[in-house]
Amino acid sequence: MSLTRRQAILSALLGSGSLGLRSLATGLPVAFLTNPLRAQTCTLDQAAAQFILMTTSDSGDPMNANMPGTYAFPDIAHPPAAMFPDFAQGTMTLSGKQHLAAMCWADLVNSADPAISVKDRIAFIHHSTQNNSHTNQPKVQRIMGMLPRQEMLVSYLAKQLAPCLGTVQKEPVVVGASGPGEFLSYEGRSLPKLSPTALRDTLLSPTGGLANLQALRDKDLDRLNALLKEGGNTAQKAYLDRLANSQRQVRSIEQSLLSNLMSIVNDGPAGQITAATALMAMKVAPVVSLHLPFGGDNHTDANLAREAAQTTESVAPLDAGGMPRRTGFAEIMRQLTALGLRDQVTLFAMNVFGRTLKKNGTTGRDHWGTHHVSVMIGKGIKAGVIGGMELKNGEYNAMPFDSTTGMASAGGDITLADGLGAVGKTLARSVGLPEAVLSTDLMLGKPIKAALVSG
Amino acid sequence: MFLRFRRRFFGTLGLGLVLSLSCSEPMIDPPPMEAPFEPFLPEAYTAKVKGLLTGLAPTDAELQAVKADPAALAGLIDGWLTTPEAEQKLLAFFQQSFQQTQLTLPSFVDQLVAAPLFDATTTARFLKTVRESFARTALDVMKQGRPWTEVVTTQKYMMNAPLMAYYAYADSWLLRDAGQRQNRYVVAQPALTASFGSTVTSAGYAESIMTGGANYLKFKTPSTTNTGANGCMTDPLVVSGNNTMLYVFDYMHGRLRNCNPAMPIGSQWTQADWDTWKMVTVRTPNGGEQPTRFFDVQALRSANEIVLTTPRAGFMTTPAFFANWPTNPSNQHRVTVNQTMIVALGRSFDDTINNNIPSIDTDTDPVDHVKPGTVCFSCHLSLDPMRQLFRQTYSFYGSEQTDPAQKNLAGAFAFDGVTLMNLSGGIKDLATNLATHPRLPAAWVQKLCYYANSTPCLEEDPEFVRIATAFQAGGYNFRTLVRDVFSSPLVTFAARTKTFTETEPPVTISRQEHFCASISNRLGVKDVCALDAVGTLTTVQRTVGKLSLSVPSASYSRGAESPVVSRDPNLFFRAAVENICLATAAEVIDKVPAPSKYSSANASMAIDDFVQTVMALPPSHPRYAAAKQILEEHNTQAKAMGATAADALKSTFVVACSSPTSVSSGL
Repeated sequence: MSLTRRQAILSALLGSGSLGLRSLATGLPVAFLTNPLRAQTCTLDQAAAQFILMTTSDSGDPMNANMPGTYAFPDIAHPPAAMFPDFAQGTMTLSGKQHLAAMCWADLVNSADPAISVKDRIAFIHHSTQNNSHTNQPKVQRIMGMLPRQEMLVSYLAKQLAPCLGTVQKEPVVVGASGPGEFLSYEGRSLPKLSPTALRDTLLSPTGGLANLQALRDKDLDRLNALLKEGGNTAQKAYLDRLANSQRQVRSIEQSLLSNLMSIVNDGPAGQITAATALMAMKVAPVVSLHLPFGGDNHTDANLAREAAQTTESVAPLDAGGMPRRTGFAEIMRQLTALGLRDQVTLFAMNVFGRTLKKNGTTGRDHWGTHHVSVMIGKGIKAGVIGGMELKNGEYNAMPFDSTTGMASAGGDITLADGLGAVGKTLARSVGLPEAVLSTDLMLGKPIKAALVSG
Repeated sequence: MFLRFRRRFFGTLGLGLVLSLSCSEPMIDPPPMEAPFEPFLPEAYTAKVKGLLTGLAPTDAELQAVKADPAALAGLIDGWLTTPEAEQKLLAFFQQSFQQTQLTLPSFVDQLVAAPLFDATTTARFLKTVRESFARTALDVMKQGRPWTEVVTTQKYMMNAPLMAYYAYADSWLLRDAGQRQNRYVVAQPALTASFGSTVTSAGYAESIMTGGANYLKFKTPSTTNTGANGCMTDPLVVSGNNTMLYVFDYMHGRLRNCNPAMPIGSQWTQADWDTWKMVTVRTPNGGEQPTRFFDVQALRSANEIVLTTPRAGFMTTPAFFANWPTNPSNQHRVTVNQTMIVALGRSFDDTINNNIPSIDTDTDPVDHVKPGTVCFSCHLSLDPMRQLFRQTYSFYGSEQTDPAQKNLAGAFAFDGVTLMNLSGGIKDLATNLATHPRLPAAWVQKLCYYANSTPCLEEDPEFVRIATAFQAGGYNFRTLVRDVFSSPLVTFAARTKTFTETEPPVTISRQEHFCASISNRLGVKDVCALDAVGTLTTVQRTVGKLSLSVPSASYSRGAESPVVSRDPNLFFRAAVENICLATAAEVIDKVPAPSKYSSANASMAIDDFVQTVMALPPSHPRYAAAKQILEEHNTQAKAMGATAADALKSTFVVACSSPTSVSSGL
């Protein structure tokens, strides 16, 4: 099909409702004009829409090292069980199939506490991020640029989910990046990190005499906004609108739920978890990101002690005294259950890369781009272990796997190169995005049916 | 002018449409369409530029001068740059730009055998010192008009005496690649011990550090200090081996290591020592010369040079930079050299770079992951020969490199069009080639673009090229560069530039560093966000300091060429600035005890100052009168609603302080 000059110009300027002219006239990007209602209208199955709580690490924490699947190979190094009982071999049964894993993971999956119970909704996916450098964290989050306009996966999902969940804002919130490398972007713009304690202090409304004058202040700030818009140009007016909108967002936060923030006492994982669950309870944002540590960038880690300590903190449901641990997956589930959000939130754990499993024994682990394990916990997730590993050139690599059965095999339809896309599509499907949308928006991999309740 | 342009633009567009509808020829690419450009007015950019550079609002005379002649802005910038407020803001900018921030005490573990155990105040003083040292060095280069290339080559650093001691102490540790960790003093005298207790006979610190004296390394402590575990009950506590100097370093900072932390022993440093900065030359020992003794407090106070076995050069070898980007046997200084490129040249290695130079990776692990076709190959190929310039000089822990294999393995400088092979001069070769690299001027123009706009400028923009070329041609005068960038349409948006032809000129939130400086400098509340505070915080600093964490700040991250900057308002930003303004209101209105900046007894005068100083709308600003009226009406209505005069004025202040021009840049 060949286009004429006339058709080209008409298409550029008048097509799709005169977007070209409207863009020129308003100064707003064509992308925004393409579908201004998309941000306000839920185009998904509203009942299936889920909040996403993500934990990620640009350090490439050794999250992959003690997962179900890794205990099937005797030469994979783990923290010595004699020193760290949480890393003795444990068993768990998922969808009727038994798996070996570190005891702390087994304890989490086997927890009889109904507030925690994840046995029916946790999937471990062995795959590869195909990246081996800390600096590629944003690339991994962007699924290697396979989403429209280089959007990050969770930001892309947030945009779709916000109108369905009725959140105050569309952008994700970052409450626990260990550094700027873990910051998220949304439509190409960096999102700031919020510390949980600052969040607590920021959102609590003032008290005293000045509190009674807030409505008056809002009204006069609106007047000042209008005054400045009178003489402003397009860019200034657009900014003033965004500023006014942020003020409206503050006032629309459900004040009765702010008390949930009062229990935040630090910026560590405990504070991050409370901040994240509270933000979702208040319907502030569709996606919240935090950082649960699993050992950090542990090139040098004698006896894998740091890995052991941090993984235990993030995974084991109980502390050494048998008391509930306030710092990991179990606490997230406890808080979500208490807030009535157990079936509305999907947890997602994915780092920039995995770490070596065998090479350095128990002295530490190096970056490893060809094995990683992502974890998903949610109502839409079918419990199981997807994929597996094989020894190749002296180290364990993720294997291709079959998207329908989840079984690792050399001829699997999810190749190593497709793994990251498959994880992204699976998460997207589990939180309500239809396959038809994903097939055009995410051009890598396919959903892992074996990990989806919807199949 | 804008309307005239728009008419012309759409007129041409309409004619083009009519003509194009009449023909039907094969498709050619339609010409790129330029969006209409609306120039920003002097009111907007004068406030923006002065706010960014000083945190202050423009005076009426300044605004009138720019309105009368926009070229006057450059001269005003020259004046603003001489103010203490500008120095303070540049100091913060340099700390970020040279990546000397984002540190905690444990960040320094790699450079020592163990982190010092300082009390909270000493920790805060130390971290402030290491953050500021290179920023002050760069500020000195700028103020003296010396070439900006010195920031990569200098072996002179602004230091205070405690930092000189740190450099010398770190230099006393011999930390080898293979893991050996020894202290130079202990190597020289294996039986060396240090004693700490109330029973030692030393008459004082000077006697305790007198080499060869009877009381050498015998330090007096109050008897109450020697309590607790770790052998602290013993009086005197005698330590030997590597512990000897760990304990001495902590002692001189006021703590008996691992003993009763609640019982300080008194630091050898005074506040004046921390506050007194001087330019210090770092040099290696001449034949037979001993390195500087880190514990000789008196000598350090009067010295202007320190002698270290490990050479230093430029921003990339400071304790702060090494603490920020520690390496290890796996990483082998790759992160260090990559961050160096990002700071100096604004470019990072990535896995697509291939400089066509032979890889020197000697990693023989069984994984062998640097084979062609693997994800790691390109990066190793281009990065490894350059990281060798660090490896030739430093061990993985920032100590002197003594391994002949590493010292003799040739490196290369191969980056972005410049390739020099077979280099053996280590850090000096790296510094020299950075200083002459053609990307250096553009990198610093770009950093200022980010600082001003929270977004990059197009490097092929003729205006960008003009400024970068002038910077180089003018001998790399950084003060001139600042003036050129901030008076340029790249920042003022007073005229169209290529950068903002396809994208809208950004109006942004006032980031943490700017908003906090504005509140502090406009209202005379010193360091209101406690960004640089040491010791006990004031009430307002405690409150605002916490709240300001929800106002996005600029930061940098590993491997990222661009600073991480947020420019859009969101609900957290909005809530934070509102609460900051509420907290500040109590500090500046009817403050008890007096004096108070504003008094509700003179609300009219206060409100006028709110408009001019806080909102940056001087009388000749077209919105001055209307804004003032809104604030006056607010004050009146608040009182009518039953508020006290003080609360009414405080509420009025909050409106002014959280108004768009107070919390934004570019309105």
